[in-house]
Amino acid sequence: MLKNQRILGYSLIAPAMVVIGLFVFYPIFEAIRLSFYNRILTIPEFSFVGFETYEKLIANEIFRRAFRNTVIWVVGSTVLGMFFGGIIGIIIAQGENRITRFISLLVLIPFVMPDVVVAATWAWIYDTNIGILNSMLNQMGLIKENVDWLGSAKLALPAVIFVMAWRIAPLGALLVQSSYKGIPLEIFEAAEIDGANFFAQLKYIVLPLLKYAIIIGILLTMMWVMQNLAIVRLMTDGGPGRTTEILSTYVYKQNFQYFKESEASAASVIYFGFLIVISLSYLIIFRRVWVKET
Amino acid sequence: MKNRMFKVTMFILASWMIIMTAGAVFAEKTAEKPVEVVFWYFGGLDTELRLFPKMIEEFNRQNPGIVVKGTHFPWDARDEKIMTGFRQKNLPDLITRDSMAVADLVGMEILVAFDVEFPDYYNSWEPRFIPEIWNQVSRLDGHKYGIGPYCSVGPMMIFDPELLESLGLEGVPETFEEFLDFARVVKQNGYIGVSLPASKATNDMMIFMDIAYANGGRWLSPDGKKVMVNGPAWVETLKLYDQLNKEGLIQRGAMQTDYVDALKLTVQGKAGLGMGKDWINAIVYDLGAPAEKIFNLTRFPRKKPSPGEYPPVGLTLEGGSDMMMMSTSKVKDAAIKFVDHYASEEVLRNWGGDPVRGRTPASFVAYDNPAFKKYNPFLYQQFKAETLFEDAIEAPNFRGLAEMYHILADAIHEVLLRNTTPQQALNKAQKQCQEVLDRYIQ
Amino acid sequence: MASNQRNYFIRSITVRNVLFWIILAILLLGVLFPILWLFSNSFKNRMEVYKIPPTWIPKEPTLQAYKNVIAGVEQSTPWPLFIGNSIIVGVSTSVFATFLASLAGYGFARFRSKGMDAFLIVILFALMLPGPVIIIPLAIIIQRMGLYDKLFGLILTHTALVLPFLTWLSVGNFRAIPPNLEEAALLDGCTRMQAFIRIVLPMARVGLATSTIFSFLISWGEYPFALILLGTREHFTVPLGLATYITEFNTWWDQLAVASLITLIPVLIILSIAHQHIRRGILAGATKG
Repeated sequence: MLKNQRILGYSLIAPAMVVIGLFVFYPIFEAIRLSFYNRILTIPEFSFVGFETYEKLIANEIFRRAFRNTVIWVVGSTVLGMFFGGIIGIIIAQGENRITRFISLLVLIPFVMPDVVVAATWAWIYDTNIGILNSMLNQMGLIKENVDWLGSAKLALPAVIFVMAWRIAPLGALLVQSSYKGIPLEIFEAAEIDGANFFAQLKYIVLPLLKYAIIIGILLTMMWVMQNLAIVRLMTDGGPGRTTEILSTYVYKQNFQYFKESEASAASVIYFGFLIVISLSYLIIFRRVWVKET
Repeated sequence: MKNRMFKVTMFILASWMIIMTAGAVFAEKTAEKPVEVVFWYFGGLDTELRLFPKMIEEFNRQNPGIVVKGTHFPWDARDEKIMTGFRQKNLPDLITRDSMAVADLVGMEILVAFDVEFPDYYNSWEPRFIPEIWNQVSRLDGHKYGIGPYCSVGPMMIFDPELLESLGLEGVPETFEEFLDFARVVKQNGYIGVSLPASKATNDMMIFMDIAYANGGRWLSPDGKKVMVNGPAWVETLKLYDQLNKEGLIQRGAMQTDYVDALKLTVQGKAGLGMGKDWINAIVYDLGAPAEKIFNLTRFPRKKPSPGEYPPVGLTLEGGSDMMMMSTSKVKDAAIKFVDHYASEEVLRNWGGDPVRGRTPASFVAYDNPAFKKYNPFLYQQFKAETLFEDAIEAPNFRGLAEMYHILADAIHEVLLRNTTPQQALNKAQKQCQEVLDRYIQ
Repeated sequence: MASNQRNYFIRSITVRNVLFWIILAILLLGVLFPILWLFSNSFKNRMEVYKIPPTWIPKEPTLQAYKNVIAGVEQSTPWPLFIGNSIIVGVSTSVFATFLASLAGYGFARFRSKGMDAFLIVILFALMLPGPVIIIPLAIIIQRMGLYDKLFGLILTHTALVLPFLTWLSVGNFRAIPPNLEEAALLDGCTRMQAFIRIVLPMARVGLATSTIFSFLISWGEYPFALILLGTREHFTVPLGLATYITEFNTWWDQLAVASLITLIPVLIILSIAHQHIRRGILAGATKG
């Protein structure tokens, strides 16, 4: 490239990089720096301890539990959300009229509602004694006594995952819908003529062409889910026991409720590292698809 | 033509952004003439929420050179706001918070000790407050850090006397065994025996702790170095919870039910007995209780003989809305005037049942408010008999407590999930809590 | 578009048609269930909201909750003010962020080099930053810039939060636009700027609209940073206002339901206007990453 072209290129990206650098990277460096101490804000003295905070963290069974839960949480809600969202997307994409346009607008609502309202509303719906879910299930005769959704060790995590999947489904619907509409009609018509029924069309035409969009969609959604804090915090706050404790709530508690700044920082750094590892491996695994498309 | 239009748009866009930035930066530099006192208050009852703006406005009117700017934040946000303010070096001048926060805030070295920095004001306030409260609540190492109009006291039991009578239950259970018997009878008649709050909310944990304290347990040994949460009083309390759970005497989903949801069951007649702290009475009508129904409030039963190794506690006292001054404040002399206003008899009176109902006041003048006798007969009677604050001690207050409450919640949940016995669960909790404590006492 | 051809597609599978609608209805019900629940509760009076067992159809329907919310406007929850603040922050964020992201996206798309690619990877990393890490350092930066408790501070923060994702979308968007038209224009004597405005931007219109809407939505519903960076009630945004109804003693469901629905309306309006653009935008951005 010509030299002044290069300068132009860099100056175009400069403003964005400055904002990102300042607001996004400075914090991570701060977090890394703080994690090498053992500071608790309510104790005036603190000292440099190298990796000791990390060692303590990894040995901490609550942290390990939170880590495990986070994996289940992220994978579960992403897959579930994209799956059901995808189904909705395909169905909506079948028609192109005012009704389907209106429906696809409605479908966006779970994504658009603020976290606070979503968490509070679903917690209410799930409530064992006053929740509408149990009430309806009772009336329909499907259960005999109230199910303890958010208070039982086995059901709490799935219940919360479901809410997150509900939040994500619109994204999946949107993604699939757009991609679907991008497939030229002739392909479908040709398949019709060849005698393929709906499901065969789905399997041999739609899915392969959608693959790339879905894969990227899953990656972006996972990122989004990983950063979410309010849903779990406001619904179960990690309970019962630590069955729904995820890294976000863990870091939050360490930082704001226990004032353990260094531990929170170390946990965040581990979290960040984990995210990087996942995304990179994800991209490498799907590199075939990536390369093929570009 | 299009080119010019584009240039114009770009120019407008750019100048708009510059103006916004400049405006933001310059606006900060304009000086305010009267002294500004920044005040944050968190949570509170509906009635208190309506009271504070009026109180602030009244103060501002009476003190023309000072402007108190009060902002209300949700209760959940109390730790975040203060922590962030601390890191930003941008703390308010005054806050109201629960007295449990004192140890942490003093540890961060951001609280003003009233007895040290404002001894005249301190002395003028002292006679207005009930001595047990004044001498214990919001104190650390003998210094007073917070002044508040009421205390949350516990443990309390609430019930509908008509319901119990209709089931043939007379009187009030005073021991654990009687409590279980009452619950069994209630259950046999198709109600929930006891609605038990057992979520991870701090208030639920404090209720548990209150019962343990009432039975002679303590968080820490007297020298403050050893965690005693696996002592006999705690074990007995956890055994009670376990027993209630095993016999199906409590509502389903106890671990998800916090103190408010548990109360709903009681006041709507679904459960026979309920438990909590004194604020129960404040919210019953908001939770769906029929309009003129009276619920009885009484001390929670204890195990007889007292199992704990320490003296049983009558009530634990926790200041709920204690005003504290930040040591980073630059307008302390103005701020103290507002604290004085908060501690004045006219303001303190408000917590005597009108307009604020259901709180246990910390000041003498509030008990004289006729509304208090009407809405809180039980507490009023005890107060007059001078037995209300007998053996009352401050709710525990030390660094690391927040984390320990979460560990305690884990232990309780482990037992309710039938994974372990009370003694084992508490032994484990003791070890973990000791680790937490050791960080602070080195 | 090819609307009549699409309908042809449906008609050919008549049985599936009905099945589709049934499945769609079930899924839609699942998706909209909480909204319907909120809607139902907004017409209940205080007592009925907490009734056990709960009811779908209010036995004594009332507009009391609506009145309370509107009355609360004077006291503690001035909704017009909150909505106004949220709109200001949202629109500014989306304009600002889209502007920066577009510049960067164009730069990354047209001027490839090893250095540029390195920066692109940096942006990818930025995408993966967990929220809790950023909160306090970011708050400190805003404070030092003197922007605490100012809407502009929140605007800057939201921009920073949204920028990595937006830049990535933008890169995909611009890469999808073939460079030959621009190059032809350049050969004809246009400056780069003119080429950018007259040729590239119109073709990128869809992606730009997507970015704008996406960043607006994220800014609208954002709570943690708004909580920390705002100090006085006059500056509060919608999520903070909603949080007022969730006290430690109770959640005022009737009012929360009304408020949630009311604040949902501006968002839905904006969405419906720009609906088409979102769909096409995500497709373009996603397939050419």
